[in-house]
Amino acid sequence: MLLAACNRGILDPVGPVGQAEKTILINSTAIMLAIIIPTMIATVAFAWWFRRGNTKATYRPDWEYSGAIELVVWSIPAMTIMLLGGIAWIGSHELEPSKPLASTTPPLKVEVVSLDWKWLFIYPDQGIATVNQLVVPAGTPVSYRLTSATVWNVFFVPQFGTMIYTMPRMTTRLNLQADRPGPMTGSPRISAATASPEWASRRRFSRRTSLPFGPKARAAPGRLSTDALLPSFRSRPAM
Amino acid sequence: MVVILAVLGTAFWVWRNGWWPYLRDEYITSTDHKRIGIMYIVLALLMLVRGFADAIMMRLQQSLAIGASQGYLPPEHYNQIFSAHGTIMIFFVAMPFVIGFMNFVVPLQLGVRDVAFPTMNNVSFWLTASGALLVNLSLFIGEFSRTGWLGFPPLSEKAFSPGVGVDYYLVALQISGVGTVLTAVNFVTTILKIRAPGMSYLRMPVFCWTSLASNLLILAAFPVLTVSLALLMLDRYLDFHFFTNDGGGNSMLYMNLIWVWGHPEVYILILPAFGIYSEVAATFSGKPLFGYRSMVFATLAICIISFMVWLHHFFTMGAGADINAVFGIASMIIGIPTGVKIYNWLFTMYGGRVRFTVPMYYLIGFMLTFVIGGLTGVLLAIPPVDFIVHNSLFLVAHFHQVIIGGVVFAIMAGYTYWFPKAFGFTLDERLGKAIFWCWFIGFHLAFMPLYVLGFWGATRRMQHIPDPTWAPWLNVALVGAVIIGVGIVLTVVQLLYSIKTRDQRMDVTGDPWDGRTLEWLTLSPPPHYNFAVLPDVHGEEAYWTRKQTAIKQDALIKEPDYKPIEMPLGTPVGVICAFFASVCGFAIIWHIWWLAILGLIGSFAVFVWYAWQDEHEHIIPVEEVRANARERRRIRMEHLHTLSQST
Amino acid sequence: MSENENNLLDVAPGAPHSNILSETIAYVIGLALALILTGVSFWVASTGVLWGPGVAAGLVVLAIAQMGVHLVFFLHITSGPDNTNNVLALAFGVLIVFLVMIGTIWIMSHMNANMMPGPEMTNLQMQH
Repeated sequence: MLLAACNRGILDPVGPVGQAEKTILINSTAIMLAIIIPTMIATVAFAWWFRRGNTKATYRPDWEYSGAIELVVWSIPAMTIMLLGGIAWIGSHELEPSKPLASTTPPLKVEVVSLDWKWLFIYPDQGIATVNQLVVPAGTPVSYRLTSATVWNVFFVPQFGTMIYTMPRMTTRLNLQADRPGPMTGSPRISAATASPEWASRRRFSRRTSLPFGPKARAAPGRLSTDALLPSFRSRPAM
Repeated sequence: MVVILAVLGTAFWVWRNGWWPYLRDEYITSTDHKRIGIMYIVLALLMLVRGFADAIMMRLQQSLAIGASQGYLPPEHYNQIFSAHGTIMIFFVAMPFVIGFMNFVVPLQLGVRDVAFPTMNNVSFWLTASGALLVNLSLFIGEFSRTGWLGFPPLSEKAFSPGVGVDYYLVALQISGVGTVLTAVNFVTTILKIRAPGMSYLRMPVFCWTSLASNLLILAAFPVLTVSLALLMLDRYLDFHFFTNDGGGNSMLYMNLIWVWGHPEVYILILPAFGIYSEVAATFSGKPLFGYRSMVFATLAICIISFMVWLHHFFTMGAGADINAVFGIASMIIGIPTGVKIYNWLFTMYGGRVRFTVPMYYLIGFMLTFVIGGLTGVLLAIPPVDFIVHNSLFLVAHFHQVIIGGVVFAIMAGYTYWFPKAFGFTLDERLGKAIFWCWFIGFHLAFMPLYVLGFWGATRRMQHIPDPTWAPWLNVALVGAVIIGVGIVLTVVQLLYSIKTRDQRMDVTGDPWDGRTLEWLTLSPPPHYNFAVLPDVHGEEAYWTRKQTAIKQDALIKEPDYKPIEMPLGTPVGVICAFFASVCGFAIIWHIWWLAILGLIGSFAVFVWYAWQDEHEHIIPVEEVRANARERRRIRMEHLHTLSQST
Repeated sequence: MSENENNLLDVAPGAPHSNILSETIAYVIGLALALILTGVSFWVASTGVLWGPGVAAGLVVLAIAQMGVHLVFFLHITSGPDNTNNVLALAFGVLIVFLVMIGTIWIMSHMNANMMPGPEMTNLQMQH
């Protein structure tokens, strides 16, 4: 089942941030599985071997302590956690959302505002704003500053990597990069406060009452030009 | 409409059968911890039906509302359903179940007659029921909250949620919160101060240790919940600006405070579950629990550390690398004592004679299911990983895995294990195993696909599914949910069937499982006062050693001197206080201020009335005590002869 | 029970009293102190008497004092011999409060520092 899930969503990252996070995910899963699978096997094995009907098994009715076993069962989880803890410490610092990405190309600045039922993307240096469409040049790091007009929301394009909350009166910061061109889908708006699509039905122009789709992201090859962004000006109905 | 008819119909049926006086005297006004425990569990089972109905509705919606279809639940309705599902399952199913078991079992295991404050115990139950009543009332009058089970601002502020839904949520939780804190006061006092003679701390059963840890957590954490909800109520009712977007408010503070409560809350649920597993593992392996002191230490470690991890619920809020890393590492550290416990249960089975009873099925099912939940939990504790799976279906699958695999399985195990003690007959075993498989298979079908969908970017609480390729996975999940539903229906069937055929499975001796702890010393059900004479405790596993001695000597201990026993009387203060509390709560929700004040005065006045009463106890005459005790000894002697002849 | 009730000042405020009058007086004193401290807190927060940034510190001190009043006058925490459980309970409570407070302050101050809106956004804030 897990194999079938590969190469989609967060398991198909397009940039360094997502790639690093995916690697950490896979590594940690493997490390934990190495502990857990033997434990699960032992559970079934012990229960079966020591079943009441099995006369071959030795019954030790008073055996309830073993220093050696205590040492092992405390130290194996402890060492595993130390390893993963180290990864967590280093990873948290390396992949801190507000940390600019290392690159020879200067970063593109994008400002993101979550409004009720749509995303607004502002490109301050280009003097352009788009609604619901995010276009970024491939290979260029993008430095996001995010906020919300009303309630909390979350900006998340799974293939880019890290998500971050958008909160009113506050500016969160995020740095992501897409290394290959192509369309991507943003995650449907979730907000820690739940995006209530019901509001969409109260808007004048939105006929839809379903959850508006997340930002449609596209990584365009080459430098970002006004032409590349122009198609976004047409207000495309949310899907 | 259906529900109203069902409720009225049941009430009428009860009245017609003349059962009200019995219910009133034996249960509603009871200060007996056993009766109160049973009432908690009945409440939990009823609310389970409601919470599960919400779950099936959500699964159905997600299977139907794909692509062009909008499903059958409009967004404003769907939002209420997932909010109700979470609120009910945590506050009115899991908590009452766990508290119900602690109520029933702890005083028996400690070898004493009741908890420290029996009347307050009754009040605690009825206040919890009052909260449940208000949540159910929102189905008929008004609406429920649409802001999730934790109600984050700014969405839950008046500006964005002007209706009564959030108010129902807030008031119901505040009222039942009082009940919960009183329970914690009761149990911490009981476990620390009231135990059988000779039962030192390190001779207590592990379930009592985990109950102590859980109640300490309730004491420490619930005030934070109360304050957070109260501040939000001040924002909503009196235009304060604690969490609003303007006026200097900071909505992040709510997130922070509510999770200071929220994380210990899940440990409040899981620690007694771990205690149940410890009892089941030892009993059905025929061996003492492996590593008792280690278990106690691990329990206390979990208790303390659970207060240091809460930020892992909002790594993506932007606290910075240092803070994220520290809380992430702390969250992983809590996995160490938990892992140790799993190994201790494993080695309890090793060298034992394992009997595959229904509780044992749940133990093994737990050990296979919960560890995967632990794996995904450790993954989520790593901030960079959380950055890509936070609030996704991966998260939803994780917490259901640990709650169902951990808490629900323990509840079902405990229910089967202690049912005979409560009612004098065991539940049907075959149906019990069928129910287990429904839960085990149903759970995996319902939640394994969600991990995959989480990787694909699916977030939680989606009313509409945009991507048709998700459909097969969601349909599998729906099938899983239906199988769990079958399990729940079978639970009801099992109960009714077992009652009908109870003569075939009577628990004559009071010790149907060859138990190791003191609750198995009594007959089933125990007399109101539990023990004729409080048992002397000489070591760990008080009952087991006593039983082995009796078997070896083929004789019970010398008959003790019986004395009359003073027990607290039943009282209506609990149900009356809760009645007024419900009235007050309802009035606050609908802004009927005069009624609110009336309700408030009423709920306090009942205690003033109580304080002026002279008679709070009654004496059980020594003849009755002696007669009951001699009957027990006679039955046990017979059983002893059978045992010694077979060994 | 304390032996010498003649001089109320010799008895620790939390210690048990032998008659109901002195016990009631102790509760009344506690109530009065609590009310005074609450009133002073509101006064400190609303007048300009205390230097601005010092108001927070002042409120914290008043809160701690109020906690002390509650603990001593209402919960009868003393350092007497039979009070080990109470002192342990107090220690547990202090630990939790410490964790929650320090944690919250650490978290919220980092959040605030990380999320200061840029200069062009400040004029979007509430215009009063």
